[in-house]
Amino acid sequence: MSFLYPAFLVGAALVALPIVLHLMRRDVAPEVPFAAVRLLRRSPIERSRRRRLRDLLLLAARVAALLLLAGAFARPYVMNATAGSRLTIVAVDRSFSMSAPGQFDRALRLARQAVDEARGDRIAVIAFDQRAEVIASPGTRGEARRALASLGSGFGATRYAAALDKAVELAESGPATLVLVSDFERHGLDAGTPALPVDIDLALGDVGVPRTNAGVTDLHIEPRRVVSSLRNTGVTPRSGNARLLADGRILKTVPFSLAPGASADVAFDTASPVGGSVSVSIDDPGGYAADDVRYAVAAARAAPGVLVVGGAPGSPAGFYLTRALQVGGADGADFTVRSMLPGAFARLTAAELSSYSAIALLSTHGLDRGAGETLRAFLNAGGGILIAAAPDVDATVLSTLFDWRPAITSADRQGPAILAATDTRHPIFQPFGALSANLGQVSFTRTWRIEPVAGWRILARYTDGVPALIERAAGRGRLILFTSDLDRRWNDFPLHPSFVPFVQETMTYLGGRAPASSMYLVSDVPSGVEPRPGVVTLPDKRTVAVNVDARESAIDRIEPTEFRRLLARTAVDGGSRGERLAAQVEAHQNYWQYGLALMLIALAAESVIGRR
Amino acid sequence: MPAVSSGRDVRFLDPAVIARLGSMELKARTIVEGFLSGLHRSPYKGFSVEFAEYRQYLPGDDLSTLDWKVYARSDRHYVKKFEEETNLEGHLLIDVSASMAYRGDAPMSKLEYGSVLAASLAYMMNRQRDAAGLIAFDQRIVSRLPASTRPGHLHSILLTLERIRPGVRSDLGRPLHQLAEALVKRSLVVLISDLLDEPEPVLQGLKHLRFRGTDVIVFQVLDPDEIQFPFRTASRFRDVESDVQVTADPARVRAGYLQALSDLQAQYRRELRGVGIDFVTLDSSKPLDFALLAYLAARERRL
Repeated sequence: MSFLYPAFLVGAALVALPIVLHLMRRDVAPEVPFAAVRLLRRSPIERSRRRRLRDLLLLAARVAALLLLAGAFARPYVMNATAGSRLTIVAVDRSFSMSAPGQFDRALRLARQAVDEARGDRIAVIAFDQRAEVIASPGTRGEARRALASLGSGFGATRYAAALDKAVELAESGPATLVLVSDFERHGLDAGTPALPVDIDLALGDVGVPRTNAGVTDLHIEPRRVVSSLRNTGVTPRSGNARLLADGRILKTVPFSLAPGASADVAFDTASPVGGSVSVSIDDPGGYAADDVRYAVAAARAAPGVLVVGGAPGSPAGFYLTRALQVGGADGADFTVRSMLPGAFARLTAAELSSYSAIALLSTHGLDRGAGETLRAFLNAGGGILIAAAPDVDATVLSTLFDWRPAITSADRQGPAILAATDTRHPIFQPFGALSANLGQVSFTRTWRIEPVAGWRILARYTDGVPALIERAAGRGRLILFTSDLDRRWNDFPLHPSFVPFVQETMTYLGGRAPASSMYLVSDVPSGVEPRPGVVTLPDKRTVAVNVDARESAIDRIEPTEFRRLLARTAVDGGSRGERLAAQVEAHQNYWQYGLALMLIALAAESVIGRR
Repeated sequence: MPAVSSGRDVRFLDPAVIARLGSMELKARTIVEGFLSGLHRSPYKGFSVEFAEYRQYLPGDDLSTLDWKVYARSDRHYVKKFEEETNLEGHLLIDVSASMAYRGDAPMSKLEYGSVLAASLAYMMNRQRDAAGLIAFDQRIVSRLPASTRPGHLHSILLTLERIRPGVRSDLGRPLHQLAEALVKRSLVVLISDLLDEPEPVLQGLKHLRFRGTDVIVFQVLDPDEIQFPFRTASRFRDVESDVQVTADPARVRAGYLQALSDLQAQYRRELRGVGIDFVTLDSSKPLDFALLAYLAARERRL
């Protein structure tokens, strides 16, 4: 038996502790007050045989527990005869380009042949596409065969690097033979040239490719039609019908005809806008099945959500802001606006705020530290916040809510003032162009006088130099502070034509989050979603389409000889090979777990004996 | 020593019952009345308080003290004793050293048991119109009430006994010598102690008393633990007075201990009998009647 970390065996010296304590055990006879001690003779205390046995058992249990603990930490292993023998790794490509009729059966035949002809007793099996998975750890021929029996082609795309990296990981302990069974699609090298240590022999099992294959390579939904792209990657012309399906029903069928290697768009005109999910499929009996259908989800036109805090429905606060944001074109309003009192806002969670792009904060009354944390989380997640100075907004509360250091201080500034954009290239003022001068027509009677502090960027000032519109970044989001009112109490801004574009541009700027994707490749699906084509609902309630990687449809293969030539061979660090082998053997045997279990048993026994 | 009749109700003499009673006076009265009520049906009728002033005529008694009226009525000879002549002067000596505070599984400590015994004896003396005195001591006399028959004196004795607290180390020899020198009149001395000290000084003191003509009765009060040594586990036995510790395995030392205790008692018994002193060993878990009988026997002898 050997140990992976023999230094921990030094800890076994701790067994001396209970032994010494046992040997040095002092008489711990209890004290008993007595009146006739004068008549007593002193006598040595001899422990009974039962007690001596109990003490010995206790000592043995304690010593055993310490020895087992030290042994478990030292990670024991037994290097048996097979542990150091040559490893054979059979890597089987299970990408969907292996799904042509009879193709995967050929792959399994080659893999079984490689298993049968393997030198040495240790054989591992890897299944790979864009990821590699060890389906049989280094073990016997029988285990490898059983693993192969349950293997089938999937929906992924070929990445040789994944298989080779996994093979290198398995072969860390010594020389090995890698048998790579694949159709050798060229795009499998797209991720870069894979590398293999020189001590891993490489054998290639060529499954070959089908002569014909046609697939749907793209699909997108337009307002009144669905357009799909078809591609013939075979060597013979293909024709047939492309079907548009929604909810399992065929909506439309369009014929197509493709020359070898040609692509074409097939459009399905629809009378009404397409909603929900659709798919387009073709018949391709001789090619890959997985690329014969493609899915798409009609992305709803979602107007950014804006939450106005401070103006409840029917109350004057936030009235002009809400109306300005609800102005829209033929397709409806550009924003979805909801108003809320600060007290109700304080009860919202960060998750509930995630559906909004921006928040307009017009009051700080009733906002507590919890609301501050929610607002900061909203900013950190990429949200935008507009704060307008108003009678209900307190600068000190704002500094506390947003944890501004240094805090901003505001003084009331009475008297007429005129707004002037300082940075006309800023996204808020850029659409105004030369008309930004019209902002100067707004008559301000009252504003905050804020001293510029670090971290703030001034976008507009009043003509006396006092900041009027300032911005600061916060997490992934941004925050804009307008130092006057948006409810016509401190100015007549809402009555001016520039108010609506100012408010809309500000909110567009603040709520500019990237739209979430409505289509995923099989290789990129979020965790928890099954990696197979189709329409799925994600944990965040979004419905998305999952499709195969269209590149895998191409019948563009690399010859095995060329593959071998392209492969980079790397030197082997022989010094640590023994350690790696030991680590691998130890990880396989896991004797330390038994050691710890026995230690727990010893401690339990010690506890039981100690109570007797 | 005659035994108490088996038909007697000894409930009121059981230490477990006595320990639950309130004041020392109640304890003493309960014990004595209970004892005497039983005694009336016993062969010891002559010692009851109703016959305290009379005694059967014995050859050598002064004929002038013979009660002829009684003789006329009963055709028996009784000697009529004058009160001042018949009354004893009894001194109750109680050891209050720390060792007397020891209590094993018994209902009362040795000190409590001895106090109740002393109270009972005082109560009995009072009923017999004997003068009772009390001396509590450890290595010195800590409390002393001279013998008296005046009204209220019994209450003082009982109160003193009730307030007795354990003292320090005992040194019986010195108080006994002091008392022997102080007693000018022949009297009865009752010593209540565990007598676990060195016996020689105690014996010397008792002999000194006896030499001065004093009748002495010695009650050695021991806890059941001290009599039986029932300990099982090896222990460090700490002397409650000297703090000396002896580590011992009871199984190995029990026989030696019991022998040493037996030897000590035999020495007391032998030496004291030689000078006419009664030596009675009492178990603090047993009823007090044995002690009271011993007292009555000694009183009878004194008279």
